Amino acid sequence: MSSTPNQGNSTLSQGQTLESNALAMLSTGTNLRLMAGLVGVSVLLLIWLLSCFVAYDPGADADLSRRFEPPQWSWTGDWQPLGRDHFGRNLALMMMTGTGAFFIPAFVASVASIPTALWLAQYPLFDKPEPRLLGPLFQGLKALPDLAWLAVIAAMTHQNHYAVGLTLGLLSVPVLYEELSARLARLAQRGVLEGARAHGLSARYIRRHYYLELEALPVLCRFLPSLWSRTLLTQAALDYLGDFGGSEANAGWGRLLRDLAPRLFRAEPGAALWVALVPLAAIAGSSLSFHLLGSGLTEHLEGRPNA
Amino acid sequence: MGLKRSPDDERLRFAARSRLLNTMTDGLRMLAWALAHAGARLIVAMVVLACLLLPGQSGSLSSELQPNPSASELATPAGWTQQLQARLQAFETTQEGRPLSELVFPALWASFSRLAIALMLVLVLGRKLALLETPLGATLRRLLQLTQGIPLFLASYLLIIVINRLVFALVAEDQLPAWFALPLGDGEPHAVKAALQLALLVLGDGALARASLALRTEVLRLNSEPYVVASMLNGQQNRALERHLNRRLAPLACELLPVMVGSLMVVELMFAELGAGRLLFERLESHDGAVVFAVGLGLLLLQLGPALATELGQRRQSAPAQAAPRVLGTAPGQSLLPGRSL
Repeated sequence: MSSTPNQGNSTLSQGQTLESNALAMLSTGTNLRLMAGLVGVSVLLLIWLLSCFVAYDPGADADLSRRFEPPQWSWTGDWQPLGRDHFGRNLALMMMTGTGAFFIPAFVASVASIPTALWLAQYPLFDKPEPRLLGPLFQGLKALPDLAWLAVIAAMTHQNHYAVGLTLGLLSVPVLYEELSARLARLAQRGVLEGARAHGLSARYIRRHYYLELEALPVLCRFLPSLWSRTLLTQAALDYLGDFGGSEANAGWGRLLRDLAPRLFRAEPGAALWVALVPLAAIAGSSLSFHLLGSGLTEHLEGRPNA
Repeated sequence: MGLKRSPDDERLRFAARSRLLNTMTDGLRMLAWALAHAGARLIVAMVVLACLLLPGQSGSLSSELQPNPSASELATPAGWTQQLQARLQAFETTQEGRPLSELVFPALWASFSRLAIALMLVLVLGRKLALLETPLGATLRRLLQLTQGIPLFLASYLLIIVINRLVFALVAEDQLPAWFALPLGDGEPHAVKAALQLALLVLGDGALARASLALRTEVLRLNSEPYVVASMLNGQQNRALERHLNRRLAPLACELLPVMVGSLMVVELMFAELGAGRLLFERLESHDGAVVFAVGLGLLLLQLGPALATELGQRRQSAPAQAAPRVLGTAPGQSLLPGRSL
């Protein structure tokens, strides 16, 4: 069927809406939380990208004669802005390589969870009832804590970041699915979808405009930072609480925290408190950045004229 | 010679028997329905856990206990059955050859007692906070929401560091006071240590914050209900409100349990306490699939009671239950549900 005049207008308004949304998303205005979150997350991403180009082997760098060395800012000699840890390893480089331990699972979790939830939650668009098996399946996944599922997967795969990310993504699907399907069901209940169909709008346009743009986009903007924050904290908790045979080069900030903690408990001579507080501050700061980004984006998007 | 029964007596007796039978039938049907719904989620979780642990493929937990079967061993149905039996037998004992019950039951019991106390405390405190109408209540609820952002293992870590540092600063290292239960290690049970654990369990991962928020939302909803307003106008203060709020406690407990099981694992590991969480992590590290499965199953079964109570509660308030008043224990045409008549 060729496009009707209505569809032509809607295509035009769709283009305008997308443009205005993009502009609205770019202009942060006086939203301090959004700006602070963006800065924090950008710095983290930059550090991770830098770490991809730095070939650092913690095992080769270990030197017990240099343990707990103070920070040095010299660019010509040893560059160790955070000093050295209890094995004499460069703490700054350890922290840099540690970013990969949560960015890789975070990307995998996002790729696994978002398309799955978007695909599953669109049943109200087709006037279909909710799939009956999804309820018990999702409730079953929620019956055990995420940490338990992730520990099982980490133990099976020797803490493979991709497997952990995939599991976390699948465990996040119910959260996103419930919110998306509820919003879409509310839209259907109000007769918006029926009205759009009656106006001759195509199913593809309805899905894109009403589902993806109006309903899914604000939800995803909230969900994504919270998923990343959750990945960061879960990965750090797994690293801190258990040893599942992951390699030293792939160790995250949680393991660094665990290695440094006993030195502090015993008040080991030479062990400065701030050395152990570095990974702690990094975990807390990153989590805060993601929270600020999510909160700022929510505030920003709720102000949109069509949200 | 006994008194002769009149036909009316017989009719009444027959009617009473029929009513009892019908009530029992409806009750049993309701119980079966609730059990099926509550059990479904646990069965799904159990099947997923079993699928992860049982097959013995490369990389799975049980592969280190048993070698993978060759293709010829799996060529016939008898071979499959034999392999499955062998794997199931391997799940009856721990890696050291001890019966599972020796290890798992004490750990589950220790976790259960810890969890039950914490859950009761969360519900009681959450209910109190939800009913607080003063500005102090609002401030406390807001503060609790803030604690949701702090991950439990970091909170425990900081707490342990601060306490250790304080104690090291106050006393000489070789003369720790008798009350000091930290640093980590399998020490004697102590009130200070137990109180710290309980506090972390209650606040950890936002259990108390979630409880107070959910109950506060329910209070705000109930406040606009006519039966609550009528009860207050009758001078019964919060009696109707509290009674209706109590109905929300079982579903809330069911929602909070998985969250608190997660916190329990962290607390047990951080304080090196005997319990299911610590056992699960230790056995995952040593690849003891049998213990992992048993502990996972135990943690799932811990949730069956509250899940059943929730399903029964929902069933009692569902439309079919109201259409069959016997289930509610009321006379036909009347309902126990306030403000509603059939």
